[in-house]
Amino acid sequence: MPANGSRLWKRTLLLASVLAGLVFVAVVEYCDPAFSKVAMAEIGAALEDPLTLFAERSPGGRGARALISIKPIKGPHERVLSTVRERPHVIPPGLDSFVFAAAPEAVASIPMIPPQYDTQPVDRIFGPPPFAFFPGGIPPGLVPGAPPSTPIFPPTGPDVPPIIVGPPPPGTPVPPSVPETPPPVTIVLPEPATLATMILGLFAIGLRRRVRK
Amino acid sequence: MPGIVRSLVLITVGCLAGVLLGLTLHKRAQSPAAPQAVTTLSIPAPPLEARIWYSAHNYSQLSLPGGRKEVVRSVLNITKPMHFGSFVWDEDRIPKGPVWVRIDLSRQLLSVFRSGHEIGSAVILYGMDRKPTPTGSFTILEKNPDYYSHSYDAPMPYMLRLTNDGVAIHGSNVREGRASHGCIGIPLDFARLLFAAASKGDLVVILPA
Repeated sequence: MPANGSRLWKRTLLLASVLAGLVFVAVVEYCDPAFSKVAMAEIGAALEDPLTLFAERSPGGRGARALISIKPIKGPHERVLSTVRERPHVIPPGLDSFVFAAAPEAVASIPMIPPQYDTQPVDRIFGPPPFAFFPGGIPPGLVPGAPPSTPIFPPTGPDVPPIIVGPPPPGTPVPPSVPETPPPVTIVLPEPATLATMILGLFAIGLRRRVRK
Repeated sequence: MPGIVRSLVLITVGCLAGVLLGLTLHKRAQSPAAPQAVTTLSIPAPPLEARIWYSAHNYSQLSLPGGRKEVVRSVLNITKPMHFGSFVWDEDRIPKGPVWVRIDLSRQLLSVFRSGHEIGSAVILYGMDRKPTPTGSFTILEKNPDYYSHSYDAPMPYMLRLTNDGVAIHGSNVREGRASHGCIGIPLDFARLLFAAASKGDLVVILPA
């Protein structure tokens, strides 16, 4: 069958089917109204079910994306030095009975940790924390090696010997100082085999250029 | 063989198209007449385009948590998707009666029903994942038109309290991409209308997301 004839045949078939459908509806409607009304009611009910209507009007579900809260975030607006306070106050061995006296004014002059360093341990900024020397023994409430409840400033009072900061009195045994080890320096050098290959390659490039000339 | 199959497919498609076309034309021919749905209440039928009415012997039903069902006599005829901040309120010629609220978190919609007729619908905001809105059946415990939350330092206008731990329906700035800390946020004007229509003890149903 030629192409035009085939196309015409398909169009005719399609048109005939559409007309058949229309005729079917007309016959059903005008010959049996009860059937059509029931059918229409059922189709209408399916299309107008409340849940279907709600789905049509819905903007959709809320996706998993960044959401802005409609209420302000309530909470403290200042950061506390929680990490510093939780850091254990470790006294190097041999130093728990040797402390230096500190004067109140000198203690008061010890700077507070600036906010930008509040997450770093104290001894990384200012060195080891100062120790107080108590010739009569460590007053109660201040346990060596334990994190101080009120850090930096030991308790004072009439029964507590004064604390003085400064050089130790003559004759006081000097605690061994912790030697500072310099940070390891890393020098990056290629391995000998790598270096040899690199040099060989450069020679080969030069030789090839000579041969071309 | 393929030619026969193609022909059969053509015939089927054609017939279906004809049937649908016929039904559509028939429905359009019948539409100017009064709606077939008639309510049991003696009120004149509102304009057809305002709401969809269900027939008296074939009312629709909505399932609630716990197996309970609520009869629906009519719903608002909203054919297009609603956007954030929009709402529809139509209580014209709807009789007084019990009010209940249906909140669908999955569709972000709130619907208000009175005497089985939907009188209002709005897009909502609800709780974020770390502060989810509880689901289930609740009753309105308290009404306060000018409540202020001290927990969150924020106003909650036209507040309808649902739980004792602070979950409520209240007016809010409903915008896409926003979420609450558990409350149901609705547009302010809609909240005012809902506040006037609802009473303490009315049922509020929250369906999960």
